[in-house]
Amino acid sequence: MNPPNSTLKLVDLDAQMAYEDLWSRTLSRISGDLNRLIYVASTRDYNSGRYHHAGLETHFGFVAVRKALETAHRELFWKLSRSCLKDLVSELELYMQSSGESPDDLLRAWRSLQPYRVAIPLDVDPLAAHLLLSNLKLGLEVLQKRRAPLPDCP
Amino acid sequence: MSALLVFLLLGCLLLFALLSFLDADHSSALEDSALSSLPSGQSGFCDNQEFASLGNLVFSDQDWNFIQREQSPFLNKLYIQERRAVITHWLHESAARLRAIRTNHLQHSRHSANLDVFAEGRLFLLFLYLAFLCWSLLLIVRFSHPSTPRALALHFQSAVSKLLSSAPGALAPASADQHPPLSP
Repeated sequence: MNPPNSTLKLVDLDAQMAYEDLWSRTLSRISGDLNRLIYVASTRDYNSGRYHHAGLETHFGFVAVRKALETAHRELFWKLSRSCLKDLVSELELYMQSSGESPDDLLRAWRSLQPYRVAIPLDVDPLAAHLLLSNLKLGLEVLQKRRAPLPDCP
Repeated sequence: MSALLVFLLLGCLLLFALLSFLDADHSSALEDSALSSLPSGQSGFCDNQEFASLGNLVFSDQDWNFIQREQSPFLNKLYIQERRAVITHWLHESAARLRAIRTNHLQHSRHSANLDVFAEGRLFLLFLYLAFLCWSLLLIVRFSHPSTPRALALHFQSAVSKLLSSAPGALAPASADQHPPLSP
């Protein structure tokens, strides 16, 4: 699995190496871009918005790792925000399968708490973020409908 | 005779509304961000291609066809509601960008030594036309299916792109030497 933009060149050499390492050792082993997005978003501190990855930081330094994670996060967001609804539903299915949670529990939590909202990178185009969040909401309703066809009410 | 007067009055009202639209409050966050994204010496829209690709996506029929295959009135309703909100966002952002370009152009042309009045007039009419299209799209999206105005939206998008490509120099921010300090 190659990075979304394998020709990407970060100005900082350490950041570039950290980015390649992140992809080859971690992200390539995660199935699905939504899984990857959630993983990268989970390395971001909720309070400061800064990314941390202890393993990578020991090799490449704090600043380089932050840039690498931020770049990967933006790329994954960009790719998902341009996905059609059908592909996004497949991504959600893949995420449900690999989460280890009961699909019903996961759907209930995701539909009510909308935790995917915190997976949006900082300073991205608000319209692209709106489109992705809207499509994720729709995708979850599609999966809910497929699992338990409900009467036509939310 | 009275019908003609009514038409004239309506025409004046429309023109006034469009001028108000173009001269709307420039302090909105959207417009500030659009203005701040204008790179000096370039055509104005730094993310025009990105913005256009998002426009294509939000008006695409592909997602609607996918939802329809699920055969659920609830999903159909939710899709229309969600997509309507996204399209409205897209149109508000388009309007803000349009206003930012016009503000930028006005600043540029006020300090221009050799102003082409005919070209300026044509550009003003183009701004009015785009403002009218944007308004119409907002109305259509509010009262019909979100993918209905797809053709009109794509036309609007290409007209904005044309505006940017036709006069890149004129739309660029004025340089420092074009803004001499006002003499006391």
